[in-house]
Amino acid sequence: MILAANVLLVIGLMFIMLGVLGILRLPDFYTRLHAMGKCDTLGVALVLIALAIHEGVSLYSLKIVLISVCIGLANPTATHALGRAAYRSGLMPWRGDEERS
Amino acid sequence: MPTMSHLRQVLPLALTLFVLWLILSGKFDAFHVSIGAVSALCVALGTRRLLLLPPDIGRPGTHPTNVLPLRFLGYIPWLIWQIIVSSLHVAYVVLHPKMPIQPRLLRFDTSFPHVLAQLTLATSITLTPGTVTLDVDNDEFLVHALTDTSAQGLEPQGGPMHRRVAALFQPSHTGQGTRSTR
Repeated sequence: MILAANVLLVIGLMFIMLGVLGILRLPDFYTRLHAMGKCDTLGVALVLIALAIHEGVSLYSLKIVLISVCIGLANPTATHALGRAAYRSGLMPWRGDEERS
Repeated sequence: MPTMSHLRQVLPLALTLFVLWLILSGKFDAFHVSIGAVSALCVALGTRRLLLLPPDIGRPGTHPTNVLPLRFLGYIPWLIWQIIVSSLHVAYVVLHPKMPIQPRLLRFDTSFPHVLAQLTLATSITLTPGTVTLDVDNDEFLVHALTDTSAQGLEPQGGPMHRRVAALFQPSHTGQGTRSTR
C-alpha cells in the first residue's frame, strides 16, 4: 500500500514537473494554458490521492479526497476564466511561423 | 413556510451538505450532528430560489443536484480517463524536441437546452486532449486547440463528447419539454 502511494506520488510530481516544463517551453499564453490546465490537475490529484492512501481509511483521507475533487472542479474553471479574459482583452494566439504568409 | 413539496425539492442538496458537514466536522455526537442537520436544511431552503436555472432539466423548481445522477456517475470515470490521456498528450508535446504544435481557434454552435449542460461541455472540452474552451457566448463555443489532430477530434455536432454530455442531460422519457433554448 505504501509502495503504491509512493509510486503515485512520484508520477504526480512528474506530471507537475511536465506542466512547469510546458509553461517554460510553449510559445504563447494559450498554449501554456494547455500545459497548466491539464498536467496540474492530474498531478495535484495524484499527489493528493497518494497522501490519502498513505493515511489509510480515515476521516483525514476522506477530506483529502474532497480537496482533490474541489481542485478537479476549480482548475478547469480557472483555466477557462484565464483564457476567456485573455481572449476578451484581445490577445491573439500564436499561429506558428509557417502560418504567416 | 416550507411545505412538503419544498422539502422534497431541497432534500438532495440538504443531504449533500449534511454529508459534507459530517466529513468536515468529524464529530458524531448528537449535538454536532443535529446542528449540522438543521443548518444543512436551512441552507438548502434558503438557496432554493437562487439555484434555479431556466429552463429546468428535471422537475420544475428542483435543484440541479438531482440531474440524472446515475448517468453522471457513469460520466465521471470517462472524464478522468480523458484527463489522463490529455495530460499524456501535453507531456508528449512538451517533451518532443521539436514541439509539434499547430494552435487553432475553433468556433462552433451547439444547441444545448440548459446552461448546466453548456457548462459541463465547456469543462469537459477543457479537460480533454489538446483543447481549451475560451468563451461561450449564447450557443457559440470558442475553443483553442493545441494541434491539428485535437482540432479534428472535436467534431462539433454529434462528436463523442457532444453525445455524452447530451445523454447526460436528456430527461429520460418523462416529457419535460426542455428542447427550447433559452
